[in-house]
Amino acid sequence: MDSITTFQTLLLANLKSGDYVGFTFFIGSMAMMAASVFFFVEMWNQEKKWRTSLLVSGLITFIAAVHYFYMRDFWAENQTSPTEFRYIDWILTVPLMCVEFYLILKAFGAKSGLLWKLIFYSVWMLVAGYLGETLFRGQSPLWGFISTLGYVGILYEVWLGSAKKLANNSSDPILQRAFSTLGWFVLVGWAIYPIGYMAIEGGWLSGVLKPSSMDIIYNIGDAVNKIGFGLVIYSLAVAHGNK
Amino acid sequence: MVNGLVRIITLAAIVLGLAAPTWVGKELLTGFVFALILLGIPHGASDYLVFRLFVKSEKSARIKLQFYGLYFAVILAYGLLWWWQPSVALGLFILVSVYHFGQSNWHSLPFRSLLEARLVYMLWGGFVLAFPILFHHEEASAIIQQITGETYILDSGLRRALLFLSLFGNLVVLCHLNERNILSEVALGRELINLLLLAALFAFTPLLIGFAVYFVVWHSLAATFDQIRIFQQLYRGAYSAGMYWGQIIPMSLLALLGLAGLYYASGSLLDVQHFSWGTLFLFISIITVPHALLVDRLYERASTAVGPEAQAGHVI
Repeated sequence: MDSITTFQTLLLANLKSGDYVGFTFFIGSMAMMAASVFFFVEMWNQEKKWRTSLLVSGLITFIAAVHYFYMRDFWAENQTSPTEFRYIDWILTVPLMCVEFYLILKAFGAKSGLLWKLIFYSVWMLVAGYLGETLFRGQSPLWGFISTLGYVGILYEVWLGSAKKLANNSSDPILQRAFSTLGWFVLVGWAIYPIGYMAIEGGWLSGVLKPSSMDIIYNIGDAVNKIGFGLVIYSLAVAHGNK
Repeated sequence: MVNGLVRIITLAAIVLGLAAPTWVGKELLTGFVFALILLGIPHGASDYLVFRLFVKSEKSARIKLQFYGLYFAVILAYGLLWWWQPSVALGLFILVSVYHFGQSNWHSLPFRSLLEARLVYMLWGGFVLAFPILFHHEEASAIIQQITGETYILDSGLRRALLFLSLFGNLVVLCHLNERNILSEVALGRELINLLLLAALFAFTPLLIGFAVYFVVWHSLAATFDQIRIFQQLYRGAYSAGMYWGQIIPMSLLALLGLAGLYYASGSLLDVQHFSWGTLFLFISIITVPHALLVDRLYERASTAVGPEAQAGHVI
């Protein structure tokens, strides 16, 4: 009985008129769920070698959709930022996005070392970010710096390091284009996360952006980054299928 | 484009700025002022040589008359603007400087369009000018107040946001240039190091030290070597660095005399204790505008054609 009530509450989450943050939580959750269905169904229409990549794309948006259901409820009840839920979501989905780089480069000689390196950088980035934003708020600049090292590591691999070299040497213009677009997602799309971190109270950009504005930016940014990432992989698979 | 020595000098300035900020701010400042005047100003003293490339006349006296007439007309008009509307003149100076710094750094790249080139120039120039001004806002405000008589106070949040944007904007531009194969991975790495070095220079050294290091070492010296290279290219090798230095000395002396005259007129020529930064920047702004206009044409010429004098075998 209790579980039915909880489920009903989840579906009938309260959204007040003018609550733009809540509005974007709803949009985020629905968009992620729709994208998951799309990737899970479409993966069967693509060549076998792309199915794992599309499955991972679907998992990324599905995990995010579930978290967004929780987050919109949390927001509706408390009207505060669901920081814990965000980090739980990110700590699962961001390494998976890094896995995508490995998966698309695997056919061109990517070694598992690249996979683990990218996963390590992303977990490092998120754990340090979480510690700085919650447990060690007084030393948030230090933890922010430590977290940034992980982000820089990912950026280095994608723009200058072994992943970039593999893409350049692939002699596959479709893959190179897709890889480049994913690189832009990491550079520009993911930049909202350090910006959000710097906007917390006592942070370098505190006062520039209100917490509610940051929630809107996160919600829209998350949807664009995660669905966009998957769509790039999907386009890559389709383009290869049409060759 | 800069070499290793420039980076070493910059790194040394950063280390000194962190280790002994007071000493750097007081003792080293005098040296940098002299460097700014003795190395910075002469890099614009080649303007007459640049002007010669754009006139058809073979008669030296006529070219000189045209050059001095136009050059001083621009200086006079801009000087009047300073007197009439100092804030507008300051805005114009900032815009021209932003473009000029950016252009001198990136002019050699093969951009797809003029719009793309100008956006890249403005972002880079905006960074090297905005970063020191925003980071050392109070010092910069005092100098601006000396020049315009008005006080500009920017909200600290806005300043931080602009600092972040100017750095991030250039990071995006560098990656864009790499993606378009204009910058190789090695060049991208080098330029990222340059960007971070400059950000650290502006952040960890006093305003004037940081700006002087950039202006003298990164801008003036690089622009001087660039000009020599372009003249050699346009005159098909019938030109040497020695000829360049010999030709710019008279104009350099004239510029330094003009600066001394300005300080004399303001009654502070030998007053080292109360050195007016406002007067120095006012002077720099007045000679920057015609210089930036000419250099813009020079870079355009260097990227598109060979000079007419080269075709005629004419040497300056």
